Amino acid sequence: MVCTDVLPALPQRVLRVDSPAYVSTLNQLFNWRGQYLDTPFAVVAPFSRTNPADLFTTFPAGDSVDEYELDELLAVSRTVAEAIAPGPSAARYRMSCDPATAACRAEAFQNVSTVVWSRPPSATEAAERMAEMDAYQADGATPGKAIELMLRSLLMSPEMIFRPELGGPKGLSSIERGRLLSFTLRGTPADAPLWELATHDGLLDEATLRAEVRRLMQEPQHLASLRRFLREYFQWDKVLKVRKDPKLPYNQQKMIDDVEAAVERHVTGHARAGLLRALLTSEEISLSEETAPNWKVENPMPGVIVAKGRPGVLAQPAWLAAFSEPDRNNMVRRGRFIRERLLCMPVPSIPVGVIPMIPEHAGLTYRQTVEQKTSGAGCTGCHVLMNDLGGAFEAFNHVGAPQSTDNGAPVTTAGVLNGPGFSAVPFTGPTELMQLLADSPAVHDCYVTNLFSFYVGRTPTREDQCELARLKALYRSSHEDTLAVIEELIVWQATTPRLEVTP
Amino acid sequence: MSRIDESRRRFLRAVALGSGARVLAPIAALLHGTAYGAVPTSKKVVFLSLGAGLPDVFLGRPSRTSETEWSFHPSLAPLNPWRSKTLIVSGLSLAVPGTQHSAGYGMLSCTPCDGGADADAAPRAATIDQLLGAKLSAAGTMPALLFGIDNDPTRLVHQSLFASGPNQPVPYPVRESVLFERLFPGSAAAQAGEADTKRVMTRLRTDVTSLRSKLAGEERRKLDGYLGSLDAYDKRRAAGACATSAQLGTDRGVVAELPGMLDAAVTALQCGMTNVVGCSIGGGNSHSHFPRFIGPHVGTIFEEQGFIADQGHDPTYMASRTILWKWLSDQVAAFLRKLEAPGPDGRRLIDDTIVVLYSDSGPDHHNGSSQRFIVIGDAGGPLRTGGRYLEGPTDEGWGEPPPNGMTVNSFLTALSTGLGVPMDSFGVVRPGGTSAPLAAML
Repeated sequence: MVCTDVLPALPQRVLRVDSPAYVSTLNQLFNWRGQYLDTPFAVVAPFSRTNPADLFTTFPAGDSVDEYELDELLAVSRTVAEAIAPGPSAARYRMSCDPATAACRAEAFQNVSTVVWSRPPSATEAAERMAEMDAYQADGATPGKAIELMLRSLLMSPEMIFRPELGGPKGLSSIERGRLLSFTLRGTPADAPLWELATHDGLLDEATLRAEVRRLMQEPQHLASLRRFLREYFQWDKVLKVRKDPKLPYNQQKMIDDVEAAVERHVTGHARAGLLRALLTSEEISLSEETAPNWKVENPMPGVIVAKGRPGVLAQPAWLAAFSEPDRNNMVRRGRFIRERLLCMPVPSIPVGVIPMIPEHAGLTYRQTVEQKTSGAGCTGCHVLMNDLGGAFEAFNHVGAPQSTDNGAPVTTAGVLNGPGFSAVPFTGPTELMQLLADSPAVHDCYVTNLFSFYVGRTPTREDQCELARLKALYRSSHEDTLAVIEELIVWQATTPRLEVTP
Repeated sequence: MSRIDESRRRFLRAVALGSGARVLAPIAALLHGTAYGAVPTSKKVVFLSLGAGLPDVFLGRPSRTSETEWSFHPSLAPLNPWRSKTLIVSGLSLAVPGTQHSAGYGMLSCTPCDGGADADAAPRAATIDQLLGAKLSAAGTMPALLFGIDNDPTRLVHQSLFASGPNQPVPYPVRESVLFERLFPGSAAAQAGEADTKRVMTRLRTDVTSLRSKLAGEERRKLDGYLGSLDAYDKRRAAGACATSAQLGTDRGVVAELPGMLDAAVTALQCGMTNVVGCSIGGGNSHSHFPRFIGPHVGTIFEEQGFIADQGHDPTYMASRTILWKWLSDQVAAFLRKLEAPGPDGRRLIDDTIVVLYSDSGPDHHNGSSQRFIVIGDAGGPLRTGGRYLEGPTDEGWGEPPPNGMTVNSFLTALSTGLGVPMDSFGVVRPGGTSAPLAAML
């Protein structure tokens, strides 16, 4: 493929909303009159189910609304509409106007449609809904009920559920750009400055658009999307799914708190340079009284300390326990993560007829047993891609505590790294391995590819390869600036011409 | 993270379908061919999947001296009244790697999953319930009614055993209230403003159609999916009239909800809402979902513990399991009795139905290599039940398939053939295996 300066067009699309975005829109709805929603709704949050085949939780952008989700939408829209529609009695979130008046009906439609559609409604749309409320009343509904029904339909309306990116030859419209920025970066509807620009065509100017992206990313700690990306990229929260013996020193949520505290510091300090490098190699950790046994550091004082031999997120108890069995390590799973997620190299699935049971053998460490069992001709082709990478983390056990022996024998953590840019490069343990990976262009390229997938809501296609190459080059030339890549991803989606497809 | 509005909780207990089946039957007959269109076949199949194995390896295999001389394990004794309608097939190999605590989607698709035994493994093929649903259930009906129970009381919907295709898990409710609203929204909405919901849906349909008209290809299909869900809701609402007398009761906890869910399934079969049912009882790719259920242990020593051991295979563990299996057998027996209730034309559901009891974990909760199915009923043939027990070679140990070539695939293709849906092959088989229908079953 030859890449030119001319950007190819992107197809028009609609993006199915995800659960956090839907809920944050509801919160905005309750906040529009300065009233914060401080109690959770006793209803199902729609779209909270995820497909295990999705690489990231942003991938439901490609989904529709199934029957369960429709049921959830029906329930939540009814509850919210009942709570906010004007009525005879005052209630905390209720609109305070007289529902029998046209002004009240107009206000209800105007305010709610503006929030849920992230745009001002047109006069035609307003007239349509007013006529509809009249019809409801003529059909026997009370004035308050008529407004409530109108609100229910807004809360399930396709423009709220499917964010349109229709655009045209000059890319997305200003309104669409506003939605792209706010939902992609912050996961919420637009704030006041962004709204002002979006609704007055201010975002059609690329310089203004970029300035807005930078403003929203100015405080990386508030950049919800980046934290979400990192959590899903490293998958430390999988620790919640692994059941351990309750007698073990094992507080899953505290483990997650530890890793997220460390990640937060790295995001704040390195989002503009070397974030991935810090996440892979930094030995700065956070710990609490509850997680001290997992760390087994000398003089465990709660707070931030440097833990020698604990390189980055993958040496955190949360990640180690997440990639373990309930009662032992799983070095194959750990190795597979590094190969697939950090190096973007697919590993074939387990062949038919193989059941990966690893029985204990007296006098052999778990690693030795795995290596013995996977050394046959039918296994080694794939396991050579994983065993050594995961084996490096045999320095830790299945709850993340350091270990020097296993099953009575000393553990070994040395191995060799093969792959793009590597040819049997030896390493002695996790610290050297993670440094090799952090210095590898292939790992950084893979990171950019994953950023693309997360922020665009799909894996890159053949048509995206030029843009991807441009992003990788930018990342390298900007000294590994994660935010610069995110900015380009947003601007690229906003400004690329949209292919108008005739229905 | 979220709860259903308590005011909308109504339980199905009042239906009491032992007698309720008769009350509802005339309406069911009326709905046949109206709300859901003409049903192409009367044959029905029910898959009941039990997590953590069937009582077999740990508790001793059922005594068997010949194909027809055998007895159920005592914990399955409640199934004895249907012994003459039973066919047990064991020693079936399953070509699904990575099976430890559950074969997951692989059990009924006979195809390995992406992610192997991981809790978040993804299906790579459609499961047999969906394929049979497409053939057996009438156009426009639910291809398969799926539900289950899970030991996590906060969970409302689960996905683990059923799939409509690669990467397409089919979710199912694990709370009675969610199942009830899914099946009978009409009856629930009657109290919560049926007419109001109809108005909202009408408006919604207009809006979705309008946005759809601006799109093409995949993007248009997303809106088609939304419209399809609206259509399905309308159909469910219409069919919900079948259960106008049904009511949900108060929240009874996870396990205690299973009987009501099975009742709802009987109603759905009677109303022609589907001809295929799948129920996951604590199943799925997660360690020991089922043994940790407390409910059936009320009144036993395990209730005091407040925690059902699931580590190791000690006698205490076995004792708690036996209680669970006995409890489950009682539920299955009650379900079968309801299927035996005569319909308006004098015909009983059980005469048209095949009930398949199995464990997605295999006979032993760790064992995926040697599978076992208990089949009750023949749906009018040609499946040969007759109290037969077909036993392949016993388990050869973890990771080793039985050497006889009998496979889950061949069981499922024979089952499908028995339901009038001939199938020559299905899924992936191990070397030396076959997926052609198991001749001894037919």
